[in-house]
Amino acid sequence: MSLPDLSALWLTLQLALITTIVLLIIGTPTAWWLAQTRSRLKPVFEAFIALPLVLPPTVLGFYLLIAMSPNSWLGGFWVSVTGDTLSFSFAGLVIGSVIYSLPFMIQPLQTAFEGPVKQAMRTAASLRASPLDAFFSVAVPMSVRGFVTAIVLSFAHTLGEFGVVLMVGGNVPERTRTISIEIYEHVETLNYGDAHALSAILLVVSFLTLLSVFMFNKRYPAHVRV
Amino acid sequence: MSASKLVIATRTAFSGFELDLEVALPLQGVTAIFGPSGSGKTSLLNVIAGNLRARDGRIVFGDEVWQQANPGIWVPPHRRGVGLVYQDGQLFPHLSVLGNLDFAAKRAPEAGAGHAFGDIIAAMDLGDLLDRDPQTLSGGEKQRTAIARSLLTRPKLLLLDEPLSALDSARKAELLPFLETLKSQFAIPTLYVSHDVDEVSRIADRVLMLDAGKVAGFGATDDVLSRFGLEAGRNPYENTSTLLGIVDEQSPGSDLLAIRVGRGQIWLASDLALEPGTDIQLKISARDVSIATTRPEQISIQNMIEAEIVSLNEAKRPAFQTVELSVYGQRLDAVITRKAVSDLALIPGRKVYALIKSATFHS
Amino acid sequence: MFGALANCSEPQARSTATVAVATNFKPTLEQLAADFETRTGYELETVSGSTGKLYAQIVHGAPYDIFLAADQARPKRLIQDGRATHQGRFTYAIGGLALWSPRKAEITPDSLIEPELSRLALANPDLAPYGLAAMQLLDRLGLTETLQSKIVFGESVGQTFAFVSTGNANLGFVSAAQVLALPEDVRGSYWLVPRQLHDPIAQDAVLLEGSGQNQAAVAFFSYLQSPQAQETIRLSGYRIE
Repeated sequence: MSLPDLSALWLTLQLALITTIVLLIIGTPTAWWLAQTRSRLKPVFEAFIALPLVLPPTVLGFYLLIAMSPNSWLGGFWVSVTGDTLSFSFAGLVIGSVIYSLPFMIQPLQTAFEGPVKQAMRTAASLRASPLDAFFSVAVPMSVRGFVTAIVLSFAHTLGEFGVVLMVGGNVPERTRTISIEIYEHVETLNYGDAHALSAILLVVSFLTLLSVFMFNKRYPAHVRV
Repeated sequence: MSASKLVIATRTAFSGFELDLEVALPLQGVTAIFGPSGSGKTSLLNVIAGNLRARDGRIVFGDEVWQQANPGIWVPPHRRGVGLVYQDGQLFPHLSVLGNLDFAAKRAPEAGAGHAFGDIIAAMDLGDLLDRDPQTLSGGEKQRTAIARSLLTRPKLLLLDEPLSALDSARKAELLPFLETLKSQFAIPTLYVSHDVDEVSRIADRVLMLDAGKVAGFGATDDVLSRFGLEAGRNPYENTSTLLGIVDEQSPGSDLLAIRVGRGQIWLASDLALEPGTDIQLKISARDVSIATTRPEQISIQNMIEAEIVSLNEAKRPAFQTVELSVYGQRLDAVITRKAVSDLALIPGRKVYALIKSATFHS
Repeated sequence: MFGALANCSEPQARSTATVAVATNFKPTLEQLAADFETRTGYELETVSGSTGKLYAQIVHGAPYDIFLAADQARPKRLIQDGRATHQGRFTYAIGGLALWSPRKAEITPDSLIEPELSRLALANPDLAPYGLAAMQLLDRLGLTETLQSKIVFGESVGQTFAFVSTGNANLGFVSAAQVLALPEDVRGSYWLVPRQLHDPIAQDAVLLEGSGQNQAAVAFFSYLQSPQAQETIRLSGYRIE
């Protein structure tokens, strides 16, 4: 395979990895809050977070395009801080991917946190563990399955992202030309050979990623013994 | 210990019920919190522990204010030093028994007289269980582990929420001695929630009676129990019958005893080594009795005895009935499903066989 | 009944034709279709997309009757592959490029070398002839290397337009027809690129194989070459030749 194609693959993996890490950092406290809160606004937040599951990626991409424009608040702020537009940049793709894959990180975590973890936190408090201490020593080990599912789903989902990248990426080689864009272009220009090769790679990588989750869940119990 | 007290004053509605009380409990020995289900016992424990927050509550432990409305004070649960043991132990599934115990030991405060790790393990007899997965433990083993775990945090106050109610009568009998050890060896002020008169009369120094979230009575155990007409052995919340019998023999090599009751004989499991001829009292929970209309098997060692149906009465749950039996003149109650009663055509006067799952022995 | 059809040499009366049109021409086509439908009573259905995508669909059997491409290459290939009729092909419009910004300023070729230009949008040359023409222009002006890092590609000339109109790119090469279709007060500013500076963006139309019997298709095909149609096309910002 020629060089541009490999760089697209590498770029896509990078995007998926960074997006997943960002999602882990912002998603974990959010999922925790959702699991604990008794606020009446909880369903509103849950609906918002679930939106990327049902909206066409083009809708998301469209609004992102407008929000990232230097004329708008977000885009303008970004230009003033970095001197570069948010659209057509890798950072812009990360932001788009984070929103696009948000429910895939938050929902499995929230489910894990709403189970037996809740009572275990009370037990931990009775054993003099502070909430932060209890979170890391009890909640996290008891939620390993949820974490694994969330991480793998977010990663795999971002690998396959197309609509959002198409709308705001600008197809810049080695910056925003992801593997799905590359495949699309090959199909458009009737390079079916290259399209097959890249599609096969993406299919295999995605399948192996998902397979690893299911094998992990089968082999290990619902939590990890430490 | 000094005459310090645990003061609880609250008048708050929680979802579904209300707690309205003002008490000062001596921080010494065991105080039982007694009452029917729904009377607010568990909620009271949760309020004391800090898991539930009564809006206007006031909780003072000795000279530490844990909760107050004016000026607002709130000490979060993990800083109160209150050990809480639940009905099902609530052991952490991701840690072994030893892991659970270490979790507590690591977070115990350094200062103060504490008991050595080894003493606590020995007192709760956990030596062989240390590397077990909590999910493989029996009910009694879980409870002992949970109690040991709480003890390891050197709590100032121990709250036990119906620790034995999930166990059957035989397991309860096994565990009660451990609770008595807990009291005598470790001397931590304890609140013990229960609806079982036997447990309460054995362990508690004083009783706080609750009814629908309000205090119905408070005082020394025997006083309060007799004032409310509750006697050990005749428990309105859990139907227990007492049969008097004599030990006939002990089967060699096993822990089965043959007990003569009236003109009948019944084999029951017991850890006790008793001499033939000993007078014995059998306490049998109605839940542990079932009824057969024919002898199921022709073997000599059987946990059943002939009985006659005296009457059919209501039981606590609508799907069940209480069948009052007479075993050679002594009363034995059984709780049976309505369906079984009609399927077996159980009517007063009929002669049947009572099968007894387990009994506790009192000499 | 089918036997009778097979033997028939007269064009069958079918009152609807499907036209696949390159996105940049769609607004103009809608005007033409409205006029045509009124005059003849036939009905037209429109499918639009990038020339490349429509071409791929036709190759895979999409049931279109007429293809209005944005280039000549694709229609020629269709004829080579036997998917379009020989006598069908003609150039229905010649497109023009415009360098455009929605803001009011003066746009000249020098705008391309101003330091304030951070993003220049054009259509992907592999997918859209307008993009190819824009790249040719940049080559001609010797600016390809210097502008390399500032270029972003729209998937089509439509997306290119969106990039510029939302402000994500300061300038962009779009079709002159798109700019002229805007109402005057929002037209912004633009430079109409002289046609000599790039290969002509000749847009060819073909009648697809199998549609020669479709009366509506045949009628529309000749309508496109009529003076009324050509006038409409010219007014939209294209040339006829």
